[in-house]
Amino acid sequence: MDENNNGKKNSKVVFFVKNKIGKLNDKYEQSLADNDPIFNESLNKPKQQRKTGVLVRGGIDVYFLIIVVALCLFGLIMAFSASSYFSYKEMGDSMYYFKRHVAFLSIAALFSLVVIVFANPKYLRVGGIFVYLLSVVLLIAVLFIGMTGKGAQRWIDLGFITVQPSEVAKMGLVMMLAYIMSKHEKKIELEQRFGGQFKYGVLYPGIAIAVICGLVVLEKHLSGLIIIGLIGLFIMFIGGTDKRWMLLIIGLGAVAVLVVLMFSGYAQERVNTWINIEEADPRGSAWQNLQGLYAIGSGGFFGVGLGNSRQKYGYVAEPQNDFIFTIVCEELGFIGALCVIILFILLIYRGYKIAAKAPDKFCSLVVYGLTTKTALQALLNIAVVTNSIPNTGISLPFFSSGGSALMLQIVEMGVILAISRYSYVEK
Amino acid sequence: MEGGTPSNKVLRRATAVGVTIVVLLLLLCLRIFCIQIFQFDEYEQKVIDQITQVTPVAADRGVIYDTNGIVLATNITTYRLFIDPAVISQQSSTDSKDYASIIADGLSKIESLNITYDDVMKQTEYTKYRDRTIQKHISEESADEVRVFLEQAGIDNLALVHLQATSKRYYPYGNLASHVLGFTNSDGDGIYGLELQYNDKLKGTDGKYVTAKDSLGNEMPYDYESYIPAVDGYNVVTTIDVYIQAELEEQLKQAYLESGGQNRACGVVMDVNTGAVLAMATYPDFDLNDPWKLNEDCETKMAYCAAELAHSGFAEGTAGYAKMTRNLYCTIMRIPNDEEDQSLAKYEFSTYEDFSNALSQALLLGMWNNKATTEVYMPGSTFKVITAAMAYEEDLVVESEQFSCPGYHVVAGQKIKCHKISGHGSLNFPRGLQQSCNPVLMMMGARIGQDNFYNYFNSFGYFDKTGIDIQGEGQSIFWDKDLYYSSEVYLATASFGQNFKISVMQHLSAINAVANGGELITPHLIKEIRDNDGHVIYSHEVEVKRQVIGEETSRIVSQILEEGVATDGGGKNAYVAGYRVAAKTGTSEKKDIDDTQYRLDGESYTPYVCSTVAYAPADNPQMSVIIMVDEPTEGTLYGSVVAAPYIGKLFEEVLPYYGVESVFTEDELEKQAIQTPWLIALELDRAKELADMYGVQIEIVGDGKTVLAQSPDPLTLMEKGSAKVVLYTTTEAKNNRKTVIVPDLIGSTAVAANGTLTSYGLNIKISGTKNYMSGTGAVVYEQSIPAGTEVEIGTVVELHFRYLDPDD
Repeated sequence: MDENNNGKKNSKVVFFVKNKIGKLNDKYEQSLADNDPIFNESLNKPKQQRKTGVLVRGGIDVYFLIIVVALCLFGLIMAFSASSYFSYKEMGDSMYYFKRHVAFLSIAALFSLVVIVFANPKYLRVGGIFVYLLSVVLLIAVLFIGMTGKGAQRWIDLGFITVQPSEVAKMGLVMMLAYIMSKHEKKIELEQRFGGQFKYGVLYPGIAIAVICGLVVLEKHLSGLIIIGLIGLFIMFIGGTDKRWMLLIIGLGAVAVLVVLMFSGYAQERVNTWINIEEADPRGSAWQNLQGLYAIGSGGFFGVGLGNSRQKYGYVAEPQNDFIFTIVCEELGFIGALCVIILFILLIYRGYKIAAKAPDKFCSLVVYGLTTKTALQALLNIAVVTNSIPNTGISLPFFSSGGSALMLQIVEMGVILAISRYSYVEK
Repeated sequence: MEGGTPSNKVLRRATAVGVTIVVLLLLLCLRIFCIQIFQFDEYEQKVIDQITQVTPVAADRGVIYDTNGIVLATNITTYRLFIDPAVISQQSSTDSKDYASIIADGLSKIESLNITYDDVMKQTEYTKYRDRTIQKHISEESADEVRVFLEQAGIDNLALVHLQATSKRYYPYGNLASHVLGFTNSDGDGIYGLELQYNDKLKGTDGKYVTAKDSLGNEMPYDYESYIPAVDGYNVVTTIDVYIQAELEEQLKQAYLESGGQNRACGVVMDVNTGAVLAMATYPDFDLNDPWKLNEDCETKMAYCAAELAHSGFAEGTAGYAKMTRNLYCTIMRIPNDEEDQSLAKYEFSTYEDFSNALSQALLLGMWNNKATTEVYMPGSTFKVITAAMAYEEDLVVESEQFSCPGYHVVAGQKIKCHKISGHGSLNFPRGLQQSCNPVLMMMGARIGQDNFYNYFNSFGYFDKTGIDIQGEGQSIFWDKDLYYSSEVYLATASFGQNFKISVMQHLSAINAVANGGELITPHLIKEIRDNDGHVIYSHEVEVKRQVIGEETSRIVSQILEEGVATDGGGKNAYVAGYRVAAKTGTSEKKDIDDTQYRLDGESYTPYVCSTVAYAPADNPQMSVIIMVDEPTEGTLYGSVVAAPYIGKLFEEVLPYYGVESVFTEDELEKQAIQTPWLIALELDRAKELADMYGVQIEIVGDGKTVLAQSPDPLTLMEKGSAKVVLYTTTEAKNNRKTVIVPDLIGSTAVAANGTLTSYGLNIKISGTKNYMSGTGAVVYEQSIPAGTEVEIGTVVELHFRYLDPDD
């Protein structure tokens, strides 16, 4: 691969990586023989039909693709409308953020195409572990070379794009956990409480989650922590971790949240602002939320018309980011908001359908995880902007501007579509 | 777990989570629905409020004109100069230039701004502020100078120094008609006088300019813009005539100052036939362009208090100090200071600051008060005109009937005095009126009867406000009806104008009815209201309330009054040659306050109100005047002396201006002043001839044949009779003219003065009342050239005569 003269060192690295991937491949082949359901059953096959079969590659799930494309286009239009004023003010070009949005979307779409065409479940496992490891590296790197912005170090600047490692980590964690949970599927079911249930159902995935969460905590990225934690719990839960362990972990999590609330002035302030939004200082902490509510409320049933938002003129701060949904509500009214929510519900429905039909448990868990991650982001984002929960920075998938998050979102959809092509066909 | 396959477990668990998420999303949908549908109005309003910026467009307040279109009140643009210290300090550090001192230096060099370098520097230190005022109310010219400075200093685009234009009410004549015009507050609303009365018309409607702005205040490219233009106020044309107003104010001022008035003076000039107020004034007046500044009169009172307090030796905060402030407050504000009255405790102050604040506030209110309409007074003998009108209207007078005045009259067992203690003896009713004999009027009052008197009093409008279009008309005070009927004494005192109170405006309005043939007309100050294009929106029409008396009565009463002025009546000081003036003087005691009052200089006096009402010409009345001086303290304290002469002077100036033609009687023509003939450059013989023709004597100095110079100069006015012109016939004589020292003539009678002047070789010119030859009471009151001045022989000395005998 690398035939440069000075590439001695490089070739070593390449070799190492190749070797590593080779080993992983070997392991994968091994696991196929052991417990991969591809050789057993598809998840939704009736019992009597569970026979050996062949893994077939077919067409992608068109409905899911339509939903994703619809969301992307909707998001694109809204990103343009919402960002135009801010772009003009900040960059002197009202198309600036729109152009970036288009560019990221295109690049991500192309990459997704590659994923859809070439990825098979085998590669995805390898890729998943790679993404997970990459995210760990990036999360560590961001602590040293990260861009400082808004009081936190969360971005790595690559010049043309800023990468948010926690976004990478979300995808990585989903795939890593899917791998762990599917690999030890049988062992999780063991009656043996600590050697089995705990070790494979809690400890292994717990470590994978804890590494990421620990690093995210160091970044002081609360919203990232929440999403990652919830996704982690979700995959553990559907992956088969025993109910009692789940309850225990959720209980511990709740205690942790309470502790944070009790000792973090920052968190308390957020909660206070949330509860007393009307009394809070409209020019201070509540500004963003109040302006968001104004935007939503002033939209009415039919909205003020596409492009006619008044709140995007500096009132809703950075309207192309986390609060873009409020501009949707203002411009397109309740109808528009309903469309967005319905699209996300359809996405969940179709995503879960793909997951249920997935060729093996890993793929199934990946699709569940990525779909749920997207849905959870949308849910929390809308909850935040409607002031239904305290404000924390969560972007709206497909809509919010932001390079790495948007691109990863599309790639994740690509992964789901890639998986949708595979099914177990009886022969 | 419950026996299901692992795959089913995944499906089941995932579905549970998925359904939960979907349910939560649907709940959020509901929440959004609530926000958008139920709270739509609230949020929509909030958005509109925060994005729209309403810039008011001020309407121009209407102009107030006098009857001839002379501007009495208008608007001028002034500027407020302010700096932006925050930006100055920011810009200074950006450009590393000391903008503060550049600005301070530049502004302090503009003299018209009247600010110092340090003043500006001090303001630049408030670097957290964005608007510090440097100077208010600066003129357009000064503003231009500021602009020039900013441009030259190259800082006109940095937004460091700002000029904010504001419209300010401006009164070109300053103090003129201050009580009538009134003024506006800082919001531009009229709060006094006509400015208040016609505020609705003058104000106009402010427009507004609505724009949408983003959160930084920049204009938003949006269609929320709307422009509602301002509608400027209407212009008000008053009936006030600047010339007459100025003359009235001048006469009031003289009357007040010369009589040592203590409680202000007021006067009104009206058109008898239309009720138009041609002039209305109160003295002391104030500056309309700075109405919150105490006038000199009030300042004197403040200074007096300060001096008294300082002199008293009481320290601030002591009981003595408080008592002192109370005493002073009550004295100045003419509040009866009853030691027992607890309600007066509010006038006790512990510090000078509190005291002076309270007092100056009270003085301001008093200063602005329009005495002619708001205050009521006892009209005294001037009311006898009304009683006489009732008597003639009721046909109760027989010209030949003689009344007897022993100096008093007994009514219901009470002895009521005449102002002439010795009595007027035997006289008929007209003469009784002219001489202002109380007993005659009381007897006539008794004939009129309580009922009739009460009804006439009512129909002359004394019970009602006149309805004049200016705020704060005072309410007259008369006995309660039952009380009035309970004793004849009330009718008796009322018949000569004592013991009830009416406003000057009410009185003149009633007098007008007597003068104009019996019509009681609503007095008014408005003539027209016009819009900006000059269209007349409203034009005042004469409003006749009712016919009070008949024309015949009016004619008879006017004639009697005029006779009194022309001969030896009380109003003779109001005489104006060429005009038949009807006048009635009046002096009333202020029975409702202590008999002994003190001036600020400590002198005691008895409080009187001296007034005169008059109208002219008596045979065809056009203009009426009332002048009232409240509490004069110097000289003869009678209306005939304190007020009547000034009415004479006023008429002399104003009647010709008003277009009333003078008609001289033969007697008057005889007495009329002549112009010195032009004798220079004439042969002596010719000069003598001419002088004879003119009826002047000549004195020739030198032995030339031709007149080279004459004294007095040609065309000088002087009285004929003893008139003598000195003619110089040689150059030497011309250059060495004879001179003489002017004697003191004050107090001498006309005959004596004439004799003295003749003996000095001086000529005489008479002004003021001119029937001095027949009367004896008139004496010199003023001489045009002060005693002791050296003048050339033949110079004309103008003498002003006045009757100083105590005629009521």
